[in-house]
Amino acid sequence: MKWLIVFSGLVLSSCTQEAPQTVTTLVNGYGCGSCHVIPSIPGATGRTGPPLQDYQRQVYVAGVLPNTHETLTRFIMDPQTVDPRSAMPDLGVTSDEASLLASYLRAEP
Amino acid sequence: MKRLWQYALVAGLTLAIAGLGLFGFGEFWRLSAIRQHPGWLYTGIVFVRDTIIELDADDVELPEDFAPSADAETAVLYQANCGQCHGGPGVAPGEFALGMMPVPPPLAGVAQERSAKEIFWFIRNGLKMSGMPAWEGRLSRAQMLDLTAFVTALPSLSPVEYKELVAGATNSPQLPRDTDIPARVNVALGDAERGRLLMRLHACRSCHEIPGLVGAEVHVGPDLSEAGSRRYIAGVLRNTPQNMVQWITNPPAVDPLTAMPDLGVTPAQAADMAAYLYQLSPPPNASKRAEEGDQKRREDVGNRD
Ligand code: HEC
Ligand code: HEC
Repeated sequence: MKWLIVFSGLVLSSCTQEAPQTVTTLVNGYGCGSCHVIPSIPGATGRTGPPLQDYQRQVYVAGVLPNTHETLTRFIMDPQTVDPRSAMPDLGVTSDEASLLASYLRAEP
Repeated sequence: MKRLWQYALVAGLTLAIAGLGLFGFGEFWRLSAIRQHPGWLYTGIVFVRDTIIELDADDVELPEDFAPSADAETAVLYQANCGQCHGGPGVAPGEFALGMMPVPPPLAGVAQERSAKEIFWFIRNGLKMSGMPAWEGRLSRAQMLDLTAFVTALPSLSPVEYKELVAGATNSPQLPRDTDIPARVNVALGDAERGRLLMRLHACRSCHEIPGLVGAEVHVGPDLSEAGSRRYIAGVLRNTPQNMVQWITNPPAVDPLTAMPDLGVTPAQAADMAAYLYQLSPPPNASKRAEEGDQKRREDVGNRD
């Protein structure tokens, strides 16, 4: 929990181009970048899923639920609980990790 | 004295020429609602509109305890008075509204970008020459405030929740049409240029950004510039021409949870639209030769408009 708070502080304070190390590690670990474009993460250039940029402006998560931290976290953890028809696989992301990724995606410039 | 007349004459002539230029290059003589404004003019109009409304809306007074809220009663009021033009999450506007110019935008997207004061301002005053009616005198101030609270709450409603809220309201009547998807629509025979026109006439641009169509920046649906080359359509269907037609024709039939409504597009029309999307970005496994053909056609389209 503590490192989450520290991390949120980091995200808010560092409005730089490069993603924080924790996020980069998670994205690389789960291979998000092989399916998605994430501009601030080098190598994340996949075209299978939609590009994840400017995410906080998007009205819906996966076209079905309002875009909030809670819904986005739930989608990253288990896409099929949000939309049973979703083509994004359940990657076994833990809830802490998903929450971190969601914060990052929704704060990314 | 003579000097003064000369100055006046030059000034007058300059103004007349500038006016004529704006009239000509702005294509003001094209009154058809099928034609879109040139991009630069649209940007100009939007800039002026938004600047003025931002200033005007400053004077709007909202109650202290104003907060976004979505109750069933206001939902019905919304669906009856606003829904036939603006639609709602997962609910299409009436057929006629899709042909309006400017197209009434989806308010879930608007509410993310505008303040509550501005939204109230739009409801009370309407917008001259746009089709947005003034509700002053037709709705009470309390009702207009309720609607403002409802509109500001729209981005927090899922399509399913919205449909449940308005279940009591009668939906705007849709024109009858043939919803069955024929076994074979030949997408290869679709006409991309006609597809582009049909996308404008079905107001696709009010939710999606689409190269070649002029409109506001919008994030309600995904940007379609690369939809043709994504591996999945709407994240749920494998990207094949046949599936593309099926999705455009009736999205809720494919994914009941989707925020994209059934817009009454026929399969033949959807085939034209698909052709345009694949022209913008070729399908994932298109051969190199097809790409070259696409490139050439894209240039042709670019030259035409
Ligand atoms: C095997 C490919 C694949 C991988 C790996 C993958 N995704 Fe996805 N993702 C998809 C697809 C396909 C969709 C579209 C699904 C939908 O809309 O229902 C999607 C959709 C999404 C969306 C919603 C996009 C929108 O428009 O609202 C988010 C957010 C997302 N993915 C995040 C992630 C994150 C974070 C990871 C890494 C933990 C990841 N994805 C890994 C394929 C993938
Ligand atoms: C006859 C069709 C019609 C009806 C009915 C209607 N609107 Fe509109 N509305 C429009 C049009 C057209 C625009 C202007 C779009 C533009 O300027 O690009 C608009 C603009 C707006 C805007 C500003 C959108 C922006 O561009 O930021 C708001 C907010 C709005 N309407 C709310 C409402 C509400 C709430 C109701 C119900 C009380 C309603 N409208 C009823 C057609 C309609």
